[in-house]
Amino acid sequence: MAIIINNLTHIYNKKTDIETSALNNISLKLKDHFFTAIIGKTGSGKTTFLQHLNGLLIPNDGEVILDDFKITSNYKKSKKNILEIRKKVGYLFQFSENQLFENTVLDDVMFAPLNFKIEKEEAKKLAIEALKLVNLNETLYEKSPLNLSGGEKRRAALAGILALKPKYLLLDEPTSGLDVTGKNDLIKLLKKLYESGVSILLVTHDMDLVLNCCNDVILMDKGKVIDFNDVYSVFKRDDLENYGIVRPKIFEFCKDFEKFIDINKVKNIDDFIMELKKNGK
Amino acid sequence: MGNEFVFGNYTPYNTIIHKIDCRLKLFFLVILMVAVFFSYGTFVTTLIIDGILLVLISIIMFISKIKFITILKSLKFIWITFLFIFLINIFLPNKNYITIAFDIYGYNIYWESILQSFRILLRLIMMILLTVILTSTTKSTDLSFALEWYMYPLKLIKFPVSDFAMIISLVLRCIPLILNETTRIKKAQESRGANFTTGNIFKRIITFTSIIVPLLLSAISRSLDMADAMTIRGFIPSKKRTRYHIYKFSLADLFSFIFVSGCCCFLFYLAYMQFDLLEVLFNFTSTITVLR
Repeated sequence: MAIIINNLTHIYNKKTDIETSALNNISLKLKDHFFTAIIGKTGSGKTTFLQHLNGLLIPNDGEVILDDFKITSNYKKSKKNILEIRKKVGYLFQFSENQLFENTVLDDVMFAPLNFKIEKEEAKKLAIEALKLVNLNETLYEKSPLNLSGGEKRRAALAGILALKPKYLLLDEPTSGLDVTGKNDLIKLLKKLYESGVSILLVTHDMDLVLNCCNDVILMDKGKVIDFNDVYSVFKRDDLENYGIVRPKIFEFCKDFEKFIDINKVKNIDDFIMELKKNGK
Repeated sequence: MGNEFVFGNYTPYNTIIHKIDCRLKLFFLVILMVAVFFSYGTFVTTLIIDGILLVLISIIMFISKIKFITILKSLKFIWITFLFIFLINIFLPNKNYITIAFDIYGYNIYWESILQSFRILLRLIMMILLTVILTSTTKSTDLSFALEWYMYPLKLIKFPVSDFAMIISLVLRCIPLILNETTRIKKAQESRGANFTTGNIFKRIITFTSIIVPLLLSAISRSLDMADAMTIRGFIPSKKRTRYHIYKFSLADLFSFIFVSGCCCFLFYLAYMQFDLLEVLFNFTSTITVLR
């Protein structure tokens, strides 16, 4: 089972004077278990693409097939499938901390399981599991989510998504606004989730995060997929700057050592040192 | 990318309506709204004049390149309010209503009440269209200037005119932002399984708190940020500020003023005289026939 996208097209404000074509006939297939990043300039259609995978947007043309469920331009036919898809696909919005609203952190994390008609006791169990997974201190469970710090709020929001144990996780700019510790914690968590079998697709401008975590990259521009390949192949493209992408510094640095090390194994500075040591340099 | 269109966003086209002076446009809005809400003698006369006004508004919309479908799409949130107003007016008792259309469990529904409800809805829609024309063709800074200009006499009684105009301008600018934010939060909660379209009314109200609470918090936080951003750029309330643009009336403004004021004066005259337009037209055609 995988995610298949066929001829996906999306036009905002169709047949109005501010019609904007956001996605232009996109077709691709994501393998069974993936950790993929979508990169590109602002306005290239990354978030629009991501929102189609959760049924938050309905395509104007084409289809999205997620496991056995299909979303087409026919909303009435797709409606049932969308609810099923939302059970499987978690979506973390950019600045997701702004969506917290319940009286306590625990209640907020229980919001999604209760919406999917899971019994209250079971929902509480799932919520506590998710909160533990994101490493949120137990003393905060009964506190108002509004009193948490920025990083804690982001983790609480992520717990709200993970409480449903999604098979696929979609993240829109997950590291924006986080400090170094918050970012490192999130990277660790994402890696852990990926290893536990969750497939992750994220939209980001943070190329260090892409190099550090992802296996594949979808490069987008003007609503089209320019390239869909492994991280190293995409970062080696000569025209990358034309798409507003600046390679991670560690990647540029490694290029000078290409003769001595296997660049495809370097994801961060630790990997780089390890590769050098391995090759006796 | 490409946020959904939100009601009242300024769209920068190069049309004559866009070029009309903002002070005049605000004046036109007020007198056209008065014309829309006037009662013109008999019911039929009022309906005919409402029709004429709707045609006039449609022409203005066509010239200013505002598509009717764009507005209809952005009004999808308030259809339920329209329906509510329509039903309330149908069921509102009135001693003057005499022609029964049908009855619901012994409660009489009159043709007059149905027509009256349609008339009220038509007027509300025209009012919204006029506002959309103004906000779609006028920048919020220009609108703020126009408000300040009209409130100038209030400065004599030390009313903080420029501050008030700035508040109005900021409110107008925030409406599309808040609608965008609402869509964003709604999507975020939908992705967590919240359902805003099905279920009983109480359940839906509870679900809507998942939008309202974050929306209020975000609006407050945004307004505080905006206040800080204005302060650090040197904004001091009540302090006199210079203007980047100099506003001058042009010849096109004069013509538009004559046209719109002429139309409105004619309509106000009709309202004052309480004509029966059908009778006037009938007398007019009879006179022509006699003369022939």
